[in-house]
Amino acid sequence: MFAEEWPLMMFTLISQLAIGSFIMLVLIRSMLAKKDASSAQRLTSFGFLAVGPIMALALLFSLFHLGTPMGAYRSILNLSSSWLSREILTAGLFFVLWFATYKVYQKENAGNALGWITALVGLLTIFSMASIYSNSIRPAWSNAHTFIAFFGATLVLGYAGAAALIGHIAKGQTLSAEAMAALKKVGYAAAVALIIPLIYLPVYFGNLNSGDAAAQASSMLLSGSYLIPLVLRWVLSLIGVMMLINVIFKQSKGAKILPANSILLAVALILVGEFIGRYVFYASAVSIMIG
Amino acid sequence: MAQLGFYYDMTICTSCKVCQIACNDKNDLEVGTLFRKVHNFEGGKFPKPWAYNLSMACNHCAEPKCTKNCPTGALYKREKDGIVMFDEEKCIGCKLCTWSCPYGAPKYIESKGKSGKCNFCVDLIDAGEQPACVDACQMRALEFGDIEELRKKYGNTADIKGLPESGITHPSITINPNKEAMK
Ligand code: SF4
Ligand code: SF4
Repeated sequence: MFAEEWPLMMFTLISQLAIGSFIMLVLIRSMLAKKDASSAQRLTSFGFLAVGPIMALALLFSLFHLGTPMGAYRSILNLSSSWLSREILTAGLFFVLWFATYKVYQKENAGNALGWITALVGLLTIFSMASIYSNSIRPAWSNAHTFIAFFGATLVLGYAGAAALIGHIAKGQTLSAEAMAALKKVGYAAAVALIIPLIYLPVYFGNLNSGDAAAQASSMLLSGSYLIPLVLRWVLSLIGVMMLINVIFKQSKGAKILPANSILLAVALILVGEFIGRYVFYASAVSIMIG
Repeated sequence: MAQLGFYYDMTICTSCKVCQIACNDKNDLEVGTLFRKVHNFEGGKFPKPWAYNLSMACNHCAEPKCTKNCPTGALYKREKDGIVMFDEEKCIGCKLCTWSCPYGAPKYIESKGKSGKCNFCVDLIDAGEQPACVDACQMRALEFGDIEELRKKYGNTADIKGLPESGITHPSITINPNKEAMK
C-alpha cells in the first residue's frame, strides 16, 4: 500500500525544505539588514536562488503522485472546501513570490517586506498540507500531531538547508560577528522546532491509545515494527541539529569560518532523520474504513 | 433536498454476493475492484460462534468527506436527490477520496489513472428503474428509496459493529442488524 505514496512523501519533504530554507534566509537577512547589509545580501543571495529549483522539484514530485498528471491544473477547482486545492494554490503562489523576492533581493538595500509576505504564503502552504492529512480517515494523521510535525520539520529542514546554502557560498571566508550571531539565533529556533514535536510524542501516543481500533493499530505499529526507525529518526535529528549548533557556536567564538565538512555531515544527518520520520508517518497510518 | 439511500437487511442476507457481481457487471469493473462489497464478520467460540454479513457500497452520505476533500469537484452531490456523483472527466487520480471516505467506497483504478465509485446506477434511476444491486438481490435484503421513508419504515441504524461511526459523514443507509452486530 505504501509504495505508491513515495512521490507524495518526497513532495512534502522537499517543499518543506524549500519553504523552511526560505524562511530561515529571510530571518537571517532581516537580522543582518541594519548591522551588516553587505553580508546580508552576499550570504543569502545564493540561497534565495536555490529555493526556487528546490520548490520546482517538489512540485514535479507532486505530479508523479497523480494518476492523470495532465489534469493537474484542475486540482485548484475546489478551493471552497478542499485543502488539497488550497495547498496547490498556495504552493504555486509561493513559487511565483519566490521569483519576485529573488529578483528584488539582488539589490542590497531592498526592504524585507516582500520576503516576509512570501514566507507567510509558505507557512500557509504548510498549514494546508497538514490540513489534508488531518482531514483524512486515518487517526494517526487526523490530530494536532500532523501540524506540529509538519511545522517542526519545515523549520528544522530549513535550518539545515540555510546552513548548507550559506556554508557553500561562504566557503573559506571569515564571517562578521553579526553574521555568526544571526546563524546562532536561527539554530536556537530550529532546536525549539525539533524539541516541541519530541515533547509532544507521549501526548500523541496517549491519544492514539485511547482512540478507536485504527488509532490503536497505529500506536502498535509505532511501538512495534516502526519503533527502531522512530528511535533512529530522533537520534539522527538530535545529533544533526546539536552538531550544527555546536559548530556555529564554536566558530562564532573562534575563527568565524564555516567548516564545510562538519556542516555537510550535520545537514546530512538532519535530512536522513526527517526522511525516516516522514516514512514512519506514512507507514504507520491505519485507516478506519472496513476491509 | 430529498436524499436517496439504501436499506440493508442483514438478518436475511445469505452472503451469496449476487449484488456485488451485478455491480461489477453494471460498472464493468476490473477483477479486484469492487464498488459494492459483501463483508463477512465472524467471532465467538464453540459452542457459540457467530457470523454476519454486510453488503456495502457508497452510502451517498448527507455530509460526505469525499466531496469536501476532492480538489477538482469530480465528486459532488446531485441537488435533486443527494446522489454523490462522480465525474470521471474531472478526476485527476489524486486518491484523496480514498483517504477521505470512512466506508472505503471510492476505489483508485490504476489502469485509468482515476478513481471510481458507486453512483447509485444513476442512469437506471433516472429511467425509473432500480439500481443493479437492489434488482439482483433475490432475498430482497437490499432496498433503495428516500432515506427518510426508509428510516420511518425500518428505523435508523447506521452504527453497527465493524462500521466507523455514522457521525463522521451521516451515511444514507439504514440497517437491520443481527444481534451480534448491534452496538
Ligand atoms: S460513502 Fe464515502 S464515497 Fe460515498 S458519499 Fe459517503 S464519504 Fe463519499
Ligand atoms: S482521485 Fe479523483 S475523485 Fe478522488 S479526490 Fe482525487 S480528483 Fe477527486
